[in-house]
Amino acid sequence: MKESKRVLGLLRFVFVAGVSMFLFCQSGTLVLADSQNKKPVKILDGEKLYAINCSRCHTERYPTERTDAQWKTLLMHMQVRANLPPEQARKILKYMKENN
Amino acid sequence: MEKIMKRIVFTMVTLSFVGLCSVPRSWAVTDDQFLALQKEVQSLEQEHQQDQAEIQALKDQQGQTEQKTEEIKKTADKAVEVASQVQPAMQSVNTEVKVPVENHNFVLAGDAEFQYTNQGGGNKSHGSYGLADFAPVFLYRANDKVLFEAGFDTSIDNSSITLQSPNNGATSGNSGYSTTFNLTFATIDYLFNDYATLVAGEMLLPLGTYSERGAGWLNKLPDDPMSRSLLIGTGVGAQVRGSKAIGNNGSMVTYAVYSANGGHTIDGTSSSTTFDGANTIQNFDTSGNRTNMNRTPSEGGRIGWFYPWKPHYDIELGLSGQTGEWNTDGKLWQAGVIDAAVHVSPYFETKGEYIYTGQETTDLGTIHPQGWWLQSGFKMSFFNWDVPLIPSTELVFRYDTVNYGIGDLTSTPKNARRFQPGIVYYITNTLWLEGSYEKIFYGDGVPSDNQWIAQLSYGF
Repeated sequence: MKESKRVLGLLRFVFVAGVSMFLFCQSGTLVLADSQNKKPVKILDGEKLYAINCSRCHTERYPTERTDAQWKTLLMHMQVRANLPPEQARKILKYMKENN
Repeated sequence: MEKIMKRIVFTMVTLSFVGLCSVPRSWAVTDDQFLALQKEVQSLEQEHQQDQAEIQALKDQQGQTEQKTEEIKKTADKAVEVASQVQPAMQSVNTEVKVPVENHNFVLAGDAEFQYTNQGGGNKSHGSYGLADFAPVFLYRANDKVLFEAGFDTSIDNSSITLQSPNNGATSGNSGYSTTFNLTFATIDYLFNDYATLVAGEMLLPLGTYSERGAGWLNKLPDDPMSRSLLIGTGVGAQVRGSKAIGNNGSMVTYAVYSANGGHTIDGTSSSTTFDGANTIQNFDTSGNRTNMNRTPSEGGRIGWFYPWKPHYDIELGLSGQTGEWNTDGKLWQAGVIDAAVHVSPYFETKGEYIYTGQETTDLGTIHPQGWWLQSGFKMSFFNWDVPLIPSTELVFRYDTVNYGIGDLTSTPKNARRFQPGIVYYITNTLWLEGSYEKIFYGDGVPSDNQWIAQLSYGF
């Protein structure tokens, strides 16, 4: 009888502990998400990345100087030569295409 | 009873008479009106018959349309059936014949320069149009992963104005000229993923940043820092390079590791002697490493960090180096470079490199040629003056020094330092007029040199 009570008590403890842990983890997740929402991350667009990266080595080139396909080739070249992160190169390419 | 019945009949007759007398006159119809009404009824009947005929015609037309629709549907079903049979065949044809959707995968870029020089001092010469240079870069994008790059340099050089060389002590030129055509670089680039690109072929070596970013049009002064002559500019080999963005403000870390044919003796002999009879470094070629006369290739790399606060406000730091044998006796040549660049507004920039090398020799032990350079630029548009020419002008200044590390065994200056103020006038964003005055001081009592250089540069 005592053993069965202990088993029941243990099961109750495990259940309560499990639920508590689950709620704790959920609340932690919520807090993290909330804190992230409070500090919105600024994502740089292609225009800013263009101004940041291209003028480091040369005068800025006008988007109208080349066609879309030519910019694609040139940005591929600059991605290799200037070690641009591909995501940044893609955003710059998008900006050049939209403004040529 | 009869009386009652008579009274009722009399009353009804009376009421009927009164009622007939009280009928309005309008109820009365004349013959003309009747005839008009009759005509109207007849015309309505005719219209009704016409409507019936039209309805019947429409019903007939609907029937024909339904019949045609059914026929068309049957034809469409047959077409779909035929298309489903043909499509696999078409797909197989498409995979065999790929039609390019873009025709601008090929791009011609590069730069061109034209130079006038007037040299004075210990190596005085007459003014001369000293250089005409055309350096095209051919780019071909095979697909989203593969890029071919090739840079050429075609120039005509008036050798009568050759600067006094601190290496070989030459103090006089000649009246001739030389025309050169060189392959500066030629590589195949394969973009593995977002973090690694394989570059193979004749490569610009990432020792510092000058060789990769110092083309005539990119540099704001007409000539190179003296200390760059201590380094090997290009090499045949393979390289893996890439970058990783840090955060979302545009900052990144970059890397490059490579293996290439190292420096070598100019004459191709197995001699490990570094110096000729005049004890100068004449048997070491840093201009290019297309052959490997050594037992093993050289290895090198660069790691860099770039951090922008906002557009035109940033800092970049880099550390690079190379090590490897430079002759058949296994003597080592090693180099280390620290590079830095800072932009503190759209108007002001400064950059520089410190270069340190170590070269094993048989007759002088290990020598350590080294040097550094620092260059700044200031755009006059900062002042926002409403005057002609000035807003399109940039002032430039460079100080550079080199020490060949040869010591007292040489009869020529072992070091030199140069002050070089200059000016750039931006005719357009790609067409520049550059001018600079440089004063070079040599060690060991050698007379100083100075020269004026004017250059027209065009980037395309």
